[in-house]
Amino acid sequence: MKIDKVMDRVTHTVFALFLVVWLSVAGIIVWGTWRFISHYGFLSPILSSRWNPLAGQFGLWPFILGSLTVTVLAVVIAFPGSLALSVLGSRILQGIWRRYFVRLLMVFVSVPSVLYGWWGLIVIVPWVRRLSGTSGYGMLSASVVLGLMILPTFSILSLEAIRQVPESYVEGSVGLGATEDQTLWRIILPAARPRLVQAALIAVARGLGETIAVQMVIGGQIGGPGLLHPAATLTTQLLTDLPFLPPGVPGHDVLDFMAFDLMVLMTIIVWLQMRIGSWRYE
Amino acid sequence: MISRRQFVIGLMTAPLFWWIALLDTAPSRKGRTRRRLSVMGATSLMGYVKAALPGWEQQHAGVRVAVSPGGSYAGLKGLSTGQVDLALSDIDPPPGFVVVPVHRFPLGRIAILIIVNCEAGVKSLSWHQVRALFEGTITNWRDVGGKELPVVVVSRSLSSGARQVIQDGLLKRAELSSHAIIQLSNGAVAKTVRETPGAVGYVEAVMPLSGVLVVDLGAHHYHPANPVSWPLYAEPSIYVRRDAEPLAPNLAEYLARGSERFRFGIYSVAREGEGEGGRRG
Amino acid sequence: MSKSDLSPKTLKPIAQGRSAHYVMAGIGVAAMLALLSVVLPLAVQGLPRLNMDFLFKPPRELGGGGIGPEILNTLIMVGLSQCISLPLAIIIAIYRVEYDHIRHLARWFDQGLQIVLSLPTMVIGLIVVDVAIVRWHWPISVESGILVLSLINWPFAVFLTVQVLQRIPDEWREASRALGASRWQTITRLILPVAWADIIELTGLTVARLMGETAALIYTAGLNVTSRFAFSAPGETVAVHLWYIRTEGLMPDADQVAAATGLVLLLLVIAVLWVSQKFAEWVKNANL
Repeated sequence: MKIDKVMDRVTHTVFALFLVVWLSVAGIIVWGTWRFISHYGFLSPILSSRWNPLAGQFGLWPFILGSLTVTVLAVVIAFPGSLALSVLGSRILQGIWRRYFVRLLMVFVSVPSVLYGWWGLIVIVPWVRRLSGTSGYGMLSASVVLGLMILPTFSILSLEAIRQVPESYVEGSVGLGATEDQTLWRIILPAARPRLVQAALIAVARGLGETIAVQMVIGGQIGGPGLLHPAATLTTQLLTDLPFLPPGVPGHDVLDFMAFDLMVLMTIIVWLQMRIGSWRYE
Repeated sequence: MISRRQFVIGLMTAPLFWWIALLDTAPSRKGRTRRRLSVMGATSLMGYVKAALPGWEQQHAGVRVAVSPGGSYAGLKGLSTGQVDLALSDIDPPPGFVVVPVHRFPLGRIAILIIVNCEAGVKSLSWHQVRALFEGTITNWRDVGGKELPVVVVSRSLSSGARQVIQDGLLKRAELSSHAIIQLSNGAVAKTVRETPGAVGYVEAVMPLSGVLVVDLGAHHYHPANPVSWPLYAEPSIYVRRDAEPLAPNLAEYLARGSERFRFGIYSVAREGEGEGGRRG
Repeated sequence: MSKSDLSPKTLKPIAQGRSAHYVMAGIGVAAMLALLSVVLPLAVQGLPRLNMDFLFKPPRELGGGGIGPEILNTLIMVGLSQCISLPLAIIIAIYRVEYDHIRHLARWFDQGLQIVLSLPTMVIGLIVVDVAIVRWHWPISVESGILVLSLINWPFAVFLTVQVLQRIPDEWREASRALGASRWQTITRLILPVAWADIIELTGLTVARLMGETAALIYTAGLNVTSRFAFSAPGETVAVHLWYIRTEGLMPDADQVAAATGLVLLLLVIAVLWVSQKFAEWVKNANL
């Protein structure tokens, strides 16, 4: 078949293009990182917490810590809600209700993050301010905003996870006389656990990569320790300092290094995800 | 009559043709270069530039001007690398930063105001107090004669010209409070100060400020109608490469002369010390 | 298509021992209300401002403008970047699923795809600034914006399409090959017709995601619009405009404009999702 040959070639070309594009993206990041490391070393910028590009001090620890704290806290905040939403969507609602429920969640997944950030500015920041007496900008606000932002994604994935539990497990449990609650806690959720953890990891990845919504409420300065002080994450600092360190300025490489750190974090998450994907429910 | 399947397949392959068409137009980009200008630089001047551009574009039909923010540093760096044609800057470039010969078109001055939230309860501050507020050594408004309310410092990012002026003219050697909130633009600072009780910040006076209190600084009082005596100001300019094509200096001149700039808080002064970065208190 | 459709009727739940379910339902409803509280105030605040002038007029710095060019930019940039990345993504997905060339590398490919997929969009923006804008001297314009959006969309679309293709049972492929169809015939006559509906539905998701993209576009597509559209002209999208008004916001009526802009963005997203879903249903029900 002639068309087969042609299409094979097209497919191979496109695949090669894909590899070239993304390997060069990774290559650019790694190259910039290399230039940065050869000047400043690898561990000392990560562990130092002095950030002053003017004086050539590039301590990234506060940003890494900020990224991790905000994301983990966001997932913790989103967890009960998304578990409840997924149970609601898979075990409680039926028929047309369930269908519309899932569609509504889909809409929320697609709501642009700017809107969440804006909501954070007009609702969460004043609320945190009233409760704590500080400015309201900081990690706590950012976590709440981010938590609400990843809630729909998290719920949809958890819903899928719960749906994947074979119906025969449920029937077996109910047939042995277990109540609905017992079935939910003892059978369904444990059986869905690997996929739930995977869902949480995907939510973590989404949260780590979020920029705009976090930037709007986090305050942007490495303040003191604690959740109520202004802070910064790797992504928001990229956004803030790209104008200050345009390409061509010596310090620009640190941005590549930050991107590299993000890539490493993502790789760890993906690796965990793959490991957990191979767990089986005993 | 085409079947639904053919219709769907056609719809799905149409993008390919679009794409090829797009590739086809790519080589002609070279020819269009002259009809395109890009402006990059200080965010505080964006409002004015965006407002003044339509007038210039009417005079020069077919020329497109791209405005992008990025701050003064990015603008100047872009100018050196040939990435942009006009750089807007409210700082003097550090020595050695711009490596190509440039023309400078001064725009005038922009006052930099100290603004506080209305609930703080102060109307005027001394230089010393303002410095202590920004440094973070005064943490409650009670200490400067205001209400019992914690101070929240709002600042701009390092790339901002206003921050440079505050650093050089006000803080001198001291460092900004580490609890300051960093906002990326003027408007964001003004909004944050308006919405946060007890906030203090600084903005370039490029817009009518509502909902915040502009404090008197020592003996100086800011009149929008007569800003000349105000002691804190930035001196924004437009930079163009010496070897640029005539359109770029033309636009720079248009922007430097435009009468609309007074509505955006840019005022001119008697030109005694032209060229000297007189940004001292 | 899948076997889980065969599940028997759910058993009638007994009335006792459901308290945890009620608690879950309560929390779930609360979470839903929290999500609704993000969008409803927007509608209330933005609706009065939403009229023809607002939708078609260019924006004005001193207030009273619209967002016409921004809407056009958004549609063109998202549309064209989909046109570029979707076919490429479908081909990659076909290569991953239908060809057995990379069988031993599949695990690596999946991991790499996952990493690329979860790269922050800001990083892609950074790379495009580094390469396209600084090194190749592309203008800050619609073109660069399209490049960024295509790069963001590509791995995402590959991922979604791979999922769709993997859901098709292997027996079907085997049957097709056994009947003597070549690989490409199998793909065009069997795999794609079965997959179109789902691909279209998921494309709606990717379009919605691109529409909301902000961080990567700020330094690549610019913050302003020109009166006439051009590929080399700056291309501010609706989402970027919203960010700009909300943070810089010189206009006296900035809050209202921001709310209306947000509402337009939200309506665009909902419209895209709705249309893609209806279209997918129509394709599914058509006798392909």
